[in-house]
Amino acid sequence: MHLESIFRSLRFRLSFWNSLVLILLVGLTLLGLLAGMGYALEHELDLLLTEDATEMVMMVERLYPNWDAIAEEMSRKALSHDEREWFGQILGPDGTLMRKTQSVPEGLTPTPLRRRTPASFEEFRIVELPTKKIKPGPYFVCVGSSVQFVKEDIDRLSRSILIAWLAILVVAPLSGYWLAGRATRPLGDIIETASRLQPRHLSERLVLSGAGDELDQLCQVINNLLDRLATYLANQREFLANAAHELRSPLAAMRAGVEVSLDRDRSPGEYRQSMEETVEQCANLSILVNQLLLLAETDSRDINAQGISTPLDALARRICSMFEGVAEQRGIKLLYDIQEVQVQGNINHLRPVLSNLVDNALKFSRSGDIVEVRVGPDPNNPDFARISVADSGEGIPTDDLPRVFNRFFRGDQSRTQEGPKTGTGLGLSICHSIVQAHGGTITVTSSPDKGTRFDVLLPISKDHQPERP
Amino acid sequence: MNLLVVEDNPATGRHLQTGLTESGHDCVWVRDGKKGLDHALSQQFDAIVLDLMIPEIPGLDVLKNIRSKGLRTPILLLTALGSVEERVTGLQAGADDYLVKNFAFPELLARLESITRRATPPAAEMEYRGIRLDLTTRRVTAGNTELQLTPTEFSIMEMLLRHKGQVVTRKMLCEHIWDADWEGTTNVIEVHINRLRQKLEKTGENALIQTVRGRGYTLGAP
Repeated sequence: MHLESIFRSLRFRLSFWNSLVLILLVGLTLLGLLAGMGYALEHELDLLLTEDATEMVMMVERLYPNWDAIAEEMSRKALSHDEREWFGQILGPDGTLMRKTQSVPEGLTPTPLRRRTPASFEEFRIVELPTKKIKPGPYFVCVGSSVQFVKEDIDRLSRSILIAWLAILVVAPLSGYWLAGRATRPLGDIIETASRLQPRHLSERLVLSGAGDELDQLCQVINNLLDRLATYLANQREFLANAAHELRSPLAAMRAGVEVSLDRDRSPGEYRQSMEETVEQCANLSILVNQLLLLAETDSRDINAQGISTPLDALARRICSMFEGVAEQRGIKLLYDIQEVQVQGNINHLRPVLSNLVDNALKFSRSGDIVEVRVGPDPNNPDFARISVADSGEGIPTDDLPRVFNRFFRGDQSRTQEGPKTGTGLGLSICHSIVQAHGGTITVTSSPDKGTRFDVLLPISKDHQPERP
Repeated sequence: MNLLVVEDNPATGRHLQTGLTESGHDCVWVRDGKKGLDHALSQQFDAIVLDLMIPEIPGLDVLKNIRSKGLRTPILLLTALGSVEERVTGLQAGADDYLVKNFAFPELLARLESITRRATPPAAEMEYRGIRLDLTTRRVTAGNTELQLTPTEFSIMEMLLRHKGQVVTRKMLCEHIWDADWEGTTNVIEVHINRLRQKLEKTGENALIQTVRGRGYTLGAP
């Protein structure tokens, strides 16, 4: 198991393949060197022999027909080149042996005439040259020499090469393994650090070597991912804590109400009143819980807006008709300009967006104010539909603007008509969440005493097959 | 009415049984899908309250099974999940109505009354205490005076007249008029009802629309 994991490691595989390639390449190079060396030595021997043969031809031509002197010269030459077993022989024009040295190998005499030389015969190299000046001729001068010494040279070289190759065979894998270890050590660190990470403790980060290489980039990417995860988790944790807190207050009120009622005997009227209060608080709790569920649903990206088409204009008209009574009662003018437009998305998901925005605008308006709802294709971007809900109320303080889409964010309570503790503080964050899940955007602009405007952009549905609202 | 409640949660089941019995209904309460199906197929009920998440046989299968046997007993689904898809699935499988937990008990009562009386065909003209509503001309008259109603007010009037003698909850009105279950803090229905009341009062029809505290609205005496 342990061995297997070593064989599988990047370090092992890297050094294994690298060494294999290196050893093979060096081996091939050395073999080539050896072959080239052999050929060069042989070629050099051939040159020497050709030189000898030329000298001999000149010698024969000079001394002819004094064969004894020729034989003597030849013997002297053989003697001086004894270490490489030099030999020579002279053949007549008809191929008869005229003279030869003692060292001529068995079987070479008589040499077949006009063979192509230089050539090999057994352990020897032979060069044969004809005389040019002797008539009748030509006589053939044949010299040869053992290749043994070339072979010995090659053998010596081979041994050196083999030693060098064996050295590489040992050194290459070891150094490769060491180098691969150095190169992959940051990976080991990454693995070790990453395996230490726990969802609870995401504070630890990978250490960058500073080299700026791919491993550093990988570390940076992982660190960035960890940052985002940590932020996301912190947000979720905060959301959960806030949600629990929001649930606790009405629960405490209900419990206190019921416990006080049960504390001593009361009249049926008192019981009734207490229970009716409890039911009302339950209803408010239900609203909160349902909104939390809706947020969870939009957060989990369960919304699949693709391929579903909703007529935004019809939806907007219904929402406006729903709120027009509220507007009238509060002395607010609800104006709307609604043009036909189809958007991608489910009507049940889009409805809360519009109703929350209109409800909000009405909530933060005073008597005499105007709330304006505009729905239609976005003039700036043909792929989007625009919903804008504007009020002429007091506006949102600049400090609060970046936080209006935060969960449980409530503005200054004194500004709503219905007094403190109105709403769950989730309405706008639900809008934000739903719009984002549909691939749209929601923005807010506000100026003090001039009012607030929310703008929603939603992708237009291309296929015009409206689903009835 | 003779009712069957299929609900596995003991507290909810007990409260439903108590509440329904005290409202004057006969109520059989079973706690799993198998028993629920056995009862539904062997006895004649006026309505069935069916939880979707129950042991043995899932609620949706119970519903489909009942419908496949040709039984038209009105069925009200209960569920803890409130997703849109589930609601659509339930209604397509043949449920008559759908309530997401936690619901108000009066809401359940009103829905049960509504689905059991749905069989009566809606008349083109409805009348109550001198108030006439004509669905074809979309006009409402009180005596000889014609009331100028907005489309929303007309829909509310129609809903109340169709269910006269019953309580119509705000949720039901909301779903009927806007297909929406508005759950914000602003009581949009109450505002429309008040405006409708004011218009009725001008014709001398006081206290026609009664508020039933904690439940909803009804025509005439609560």
